[in-house]
Amino acid sequence: MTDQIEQTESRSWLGRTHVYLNSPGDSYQLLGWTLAWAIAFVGASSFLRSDPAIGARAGWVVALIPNFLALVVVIVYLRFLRDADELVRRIQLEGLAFGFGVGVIFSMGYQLLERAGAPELSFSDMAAIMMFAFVVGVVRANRRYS
Amino acid sequence: MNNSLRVLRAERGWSQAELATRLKVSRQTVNAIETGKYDPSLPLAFKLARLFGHSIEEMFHEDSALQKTQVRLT
Repeated sequence: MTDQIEQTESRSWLGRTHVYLNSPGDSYQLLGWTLAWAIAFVGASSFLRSDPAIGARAGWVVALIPNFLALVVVIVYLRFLRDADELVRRIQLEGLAFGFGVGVIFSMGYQLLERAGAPELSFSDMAAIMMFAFVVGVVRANRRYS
Repeated sequence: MNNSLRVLRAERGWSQAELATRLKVSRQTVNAIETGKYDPSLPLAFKLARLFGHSIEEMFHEDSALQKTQVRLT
């Protein structure tokens, strides 16, 4: 039985890659990029709503920044999953399943409520509910296995 | 599923974190296996067996409720 523990690691601006399992830094990196995207989304939405005189090209640039950050979040999350061990992957899968299920049920169910007179919700609101449900699902799964 | 992982780990004086590092899994995984809240995959079970020098059957035991049912049926 060897006492040497194999580690391979490389770094990029998207985070560590090719590590044999997640470190707390990987989680913080994912959280950081997610927060950056959320802030950019809210900022871009507010800015575009408040300044109708903004030029077409500038408006496109402002609108694309959150989308670029969202793509980064997806890449970082996929790397997080790839480097995760089997239990972390199971927990994330349960979170995704819960988030997706709640999101689909809520969006389809709320459509009927809208027809009955409930206030209209945008697609972003539905996506936010799905993301919140994903977080709840991950927390629940973590508790089950702790 | 019950297991003797905690006992075997203690015999070697390893912490959960140290065992996790040797197995290349998270400490959360080691804790979940020891408390019976998570059953490892076959590759991980084989890793554990190789690390401790026991067979999988020696390390992992079926739940006592299932054992009682089996005793009743025989």
